[in-house]
Amino acid sequence: MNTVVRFENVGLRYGTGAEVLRDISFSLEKGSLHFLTGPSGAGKTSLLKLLYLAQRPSRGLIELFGQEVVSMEREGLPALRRRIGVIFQDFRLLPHLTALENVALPLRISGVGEAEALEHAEEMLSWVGLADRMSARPATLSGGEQQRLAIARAVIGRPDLLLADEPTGNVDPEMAGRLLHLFQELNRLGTTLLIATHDQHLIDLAPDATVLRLEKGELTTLPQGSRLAPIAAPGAALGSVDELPFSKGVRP
Amino acid sequence: MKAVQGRYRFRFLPEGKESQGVLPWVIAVMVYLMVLAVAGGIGVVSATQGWSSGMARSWTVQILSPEGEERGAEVKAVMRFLSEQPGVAGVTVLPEDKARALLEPWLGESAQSAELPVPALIDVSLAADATLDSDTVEQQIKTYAPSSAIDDHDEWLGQLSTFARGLQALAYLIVGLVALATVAIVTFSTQAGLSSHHDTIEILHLIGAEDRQIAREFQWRYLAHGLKGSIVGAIAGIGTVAGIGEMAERLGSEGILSSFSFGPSAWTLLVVLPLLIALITMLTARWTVHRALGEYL
Repeated sequence: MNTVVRFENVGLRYGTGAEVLRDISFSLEKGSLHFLTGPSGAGKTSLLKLLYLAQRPSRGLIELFGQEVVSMEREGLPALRRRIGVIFQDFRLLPHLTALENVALPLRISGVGEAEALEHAEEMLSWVGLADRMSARPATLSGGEQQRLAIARAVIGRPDLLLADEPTGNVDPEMAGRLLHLFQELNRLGTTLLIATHDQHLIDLAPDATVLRLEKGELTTLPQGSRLAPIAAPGAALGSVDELPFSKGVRP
Repeated sequence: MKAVQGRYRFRFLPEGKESQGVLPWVIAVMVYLMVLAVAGGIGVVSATQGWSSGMARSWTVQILSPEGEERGAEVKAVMRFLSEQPGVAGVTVLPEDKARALLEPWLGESAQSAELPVPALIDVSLAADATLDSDTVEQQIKTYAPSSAIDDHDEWLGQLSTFARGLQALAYLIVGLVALATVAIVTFSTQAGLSSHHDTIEILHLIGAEDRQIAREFQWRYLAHGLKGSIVGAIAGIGTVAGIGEMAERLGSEGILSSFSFGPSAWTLLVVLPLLIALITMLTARWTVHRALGEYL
């Protein structure tokens, strides 16, 4: 099974309004990197919602990890969601938990013991450069720190599919480059990535990625490229690839 | 790192600042009312049982003929006949001054007046296994004393037991209503909790938490609320009941409330009931959370 995501003639409308997504067909292979672009209001967030299973389409076929999900029983969905990491545009960190607990959360939900989950969360936080902010609440963190926290939470379970909604919206170009490097490493470890972004600079940093363009609810694929070529190593804020916690095979 | 050592715990949901702070107190009041209702129900039943078993084992024979030698003979004959009957444990004549004393609360001083005719009263106590029929015996003693009549307290006992059953039904009705009100309050409180934690729950849901994982957080929290409230309410309620029992005892053995007593099963019920309320609280919260989460995809 190498196709991670498959959409066929998917349409989405809210209520009785016009379709916000029309005849969307595409597929994402295992370990591939894709950008999703398009003007505001083109339906990028709606498309991501379909992918992270917050929304069922009005029509069409969606397969995730080879399983048809449109008509799947509700009870079957949490198991699929656990294989998907999401970096929300507004981060959606839990305000009452510390940074460490936020990152440990997906592992706890997957049934990993508390001590083990916290240990991995610690490594993950160190790796994104937040070793000294572990017991801080999200509200006390800067925008960039929150972003890294959100990323740490999204990737700690080493997801098969990682979805990112404007992940560089709150960071300077240098940090954007570092984040892309992180994504590239995940990609190398077999995670399929779909990054929704307006940031042309970010897209330019990964010339071999596929770019999916969404406009007025319709999707077009821009010039091909399946894998992201290695880019220049980033600065020091992020640890090296060998130190990546999940490279040691941490999985729930 | 400190966080990793020891029995460190974190909850998926923040501590609620909504109506949950009040909830244990509301539950305490509910349980208090329930304990009082149940104690009242049980107390009335045990009291009336005490009275009626005493009453059912005694008759009062009245002889209405005018005072004089003739009546003395009638009384002697009736007593002789009654004491020979199998099942009669004892026969005593109520002395005239006692009979007059019984009338005094109603008639005042004049009850002592010799001009007031007082019937001869004979107390008949029956053995526990007596099978005598009061109507048959009445016919038999009329041959000795035509003006005699037997009061077997049947009518009064019937009214007493109807009254007791009514009070008991009322007590159970109160318990049922309070339980329903508790369910409603817990439902509202859980709904308030759900909406105040809406964002958190949605995030947990999107991260892949199953409904039961989220419901578990709520159900344990509400079980704790329920237990806290129940224990406070039960202690207050049982204390009140024990206090009433104490006061009843001080009224002396002749007081109506002296037979107001609880057996071990009654005390068990008073302990089990609050635990049941705590359990209802937990299950209601669980059910409310599951129903609300069912609306998410």
